[in-house]
Amino acid sequence: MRRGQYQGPACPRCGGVLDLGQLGSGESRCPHCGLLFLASAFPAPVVRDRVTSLAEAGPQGAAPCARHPGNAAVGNCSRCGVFLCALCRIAIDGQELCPGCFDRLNAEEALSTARTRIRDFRGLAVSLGVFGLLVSCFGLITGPLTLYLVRRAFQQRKHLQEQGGRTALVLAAMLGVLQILIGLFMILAMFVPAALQGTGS
Amino acid sequence: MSEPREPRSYLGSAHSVTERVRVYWTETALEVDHVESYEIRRQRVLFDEIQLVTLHSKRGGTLPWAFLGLGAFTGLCSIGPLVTGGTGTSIGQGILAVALVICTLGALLYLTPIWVVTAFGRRTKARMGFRLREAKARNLYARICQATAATQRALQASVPVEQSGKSEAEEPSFPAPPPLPLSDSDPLI
Repeated sequence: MRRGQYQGPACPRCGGVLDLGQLGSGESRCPHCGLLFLASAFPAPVVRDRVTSLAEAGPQGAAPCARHPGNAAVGNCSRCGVFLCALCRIAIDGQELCPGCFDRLNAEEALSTARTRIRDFRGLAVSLGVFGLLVSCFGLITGPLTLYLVRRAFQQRKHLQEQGGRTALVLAAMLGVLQILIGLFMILAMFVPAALQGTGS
Repeated sequence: MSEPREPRSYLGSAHSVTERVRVYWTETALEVDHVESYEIRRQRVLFDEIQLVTLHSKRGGTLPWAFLGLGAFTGLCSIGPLVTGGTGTSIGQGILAVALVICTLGALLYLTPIWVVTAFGRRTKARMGFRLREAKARNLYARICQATAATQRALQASVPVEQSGKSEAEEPSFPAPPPLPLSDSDPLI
């Protein structure tokens, strides 16, 4: 397995799928390529939520789930308040949601933990910082744009609670300022001598 | 409406010609960011789903040979005029000499060993490479093993006995996590 679908634990050297039952912890040899690597195998226990049926829970105090009338509710949706059984309950970002509310909030990108695609503002800022320096004649356009992207990247970094990556952003901001200065210098170099010539004549 | 995310810290990266991957540590998982043309595709390898953690070293690949070939080509180009008695321009020879030095340094860089830590989860994996930083790779390997063992042990303990349906003899065994820090001498890798 080089690329494509993930097939589970594999040899880190050749990509051959490994049988975890035969793999011990410590020094291990791949049965496919014969090369050594250090390994620690874990059982990764599967824990399933126990679903209590309404009959099992008894009539006293048991409410049925809104989607599964045969299951006893174990909570309410934090957003719409419907009763949820253990099958329907989705715990995310400190809330318990029903599947419908989860889908809606996820579509609105309101659940930060559920987001899997994010704009890379840091990469954009650094790239534009370097590229803008190469075309410094447009520094008055690319410079402010770089600074805007740096600002967005800092906001994203704060929102994602990231530690690190600050140096690259500071460097990109400096490149943005440099682009603006070069752009200003080029404009002054073009127009000021012409203006002086005009007043001199 | 959503709660603030748990803080995360940068662990390492695994860049290749075709993809750029950054890996972060959070309290519950390793977050893998695949950078795809200024968009990040995020995956998580949860500690309670990790099945295998590996550590190995590798060196070389195709890149050092490409650098060496390019270096040899520029070297031949720079000494060619001298051998044939021709007179090359000093600027051209200087550029070729700089290119030769860069190619040689590139080849040497890619010939140095890189230590790779890989965490295989049930649904995805996280991979990080550390060039010339063996101690850091070993410490991270041990840290991931310890966090995984602690998380899975706590998860196993939280399951009621009647639900797990297993006797004590059938309890899954967790590997003893490597001590921190590990020794630098390791003949197997």
